[in-house]
Amino acid sequence: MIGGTRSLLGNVVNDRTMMLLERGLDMSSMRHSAVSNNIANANTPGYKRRDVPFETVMREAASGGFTESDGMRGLERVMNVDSGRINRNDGNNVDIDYEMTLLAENSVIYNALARQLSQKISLLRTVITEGRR
Amino acid sequence: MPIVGPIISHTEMRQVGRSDWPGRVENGAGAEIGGAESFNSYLKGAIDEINTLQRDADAATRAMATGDVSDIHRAVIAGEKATLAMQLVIEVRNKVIEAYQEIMRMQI
Amino acid sequence: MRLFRAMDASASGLTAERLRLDVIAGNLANANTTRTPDGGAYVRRMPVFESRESGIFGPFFQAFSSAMGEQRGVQVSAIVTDDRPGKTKYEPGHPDAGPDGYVRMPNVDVVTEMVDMVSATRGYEANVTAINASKQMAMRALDIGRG
Repeated sequence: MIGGTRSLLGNVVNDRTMMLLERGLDMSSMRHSAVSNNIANANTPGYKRRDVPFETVMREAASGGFTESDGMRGLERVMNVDSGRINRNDGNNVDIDYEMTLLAENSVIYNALARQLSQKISLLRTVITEGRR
Repeated sequence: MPIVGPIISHTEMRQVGRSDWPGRVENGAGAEIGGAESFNSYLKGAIDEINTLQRDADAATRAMATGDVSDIHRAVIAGEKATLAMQLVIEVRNKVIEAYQEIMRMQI
Repeated sequence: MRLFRAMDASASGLTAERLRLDVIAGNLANANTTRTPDGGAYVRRMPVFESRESGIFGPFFQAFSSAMGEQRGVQVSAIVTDDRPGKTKYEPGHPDAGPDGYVRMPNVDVVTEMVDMVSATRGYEANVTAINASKQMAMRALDIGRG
């Protein structure tokens, strides 16, 4: 796999920041998926909302918790079922306002991460191709 | 390795890879590899990495084309990485050939 | 289950809420229907929502301790009748009045239906927002590296 210490490409193309950003995008994507599903099931009796513990995972990722080989597979583990919060009569614990807020917030995070990644890639591209002189 | 074949098969590149080529080579991290053979194997290593990146990008593209677009950002990033890696190796190759030509000109 | 599947989930939510609105509309329209082809007063209908999970327990989910299928949104698994009896109204002159002069009215409570309608509308709009967010995020992802 790419990223060994003696690998030139690994250091350029797969450095820490890049991986962190990618991981962040993965998490954001998963959270969006969970929230969308919560919203779709906002009126389903007995449904319990799902979420990903974003902050915990990102902290883990920042300290080197995930390896490249984990891919998305490792992340499926982290989606959990939130059985707390106030239940309605029908056992459903989805608060649609909360989910909408989460949706908006997550959207911004995703865009921010994508933009950071974009800038990093542009920078790399500039550095690589401008050497041609 | 159809895509990256031309990079190594260039005659000058082969010259550089010969064991009797003078001079020492340093890799990106600044450590001396020592000798042209190391450069050759370094390049081959880099090509392999590009291959992996290309394969990942191809797989992601195929997934997108067949409609299994689960991870669109993954596909885009894989494509970008593969392109960057390719560009990097091409630039390195160009520089090495330039350097080689410089040196060849110096000999009388 | 990522961006596009999230869109599927939201789409299923749209379908479900829309169906619910249809059922509610039917109930409201028949709030005073004392005669149906099946005989008797109109019986209130209710959609049954069920979360849709594909039970794909492939390599992806082997690490799961709790069995959790892949989420696919929601579906209306059935439309059932509400079997609670409706009110009776004393109106001896009514063509559908019984021998005791009472008319069996449908068990549709307009207030309940209106509340449900608001909830369904809100749910529908929320799903629309979610789909827009999905689309916007996907478009943004496509622009990675191009910015």
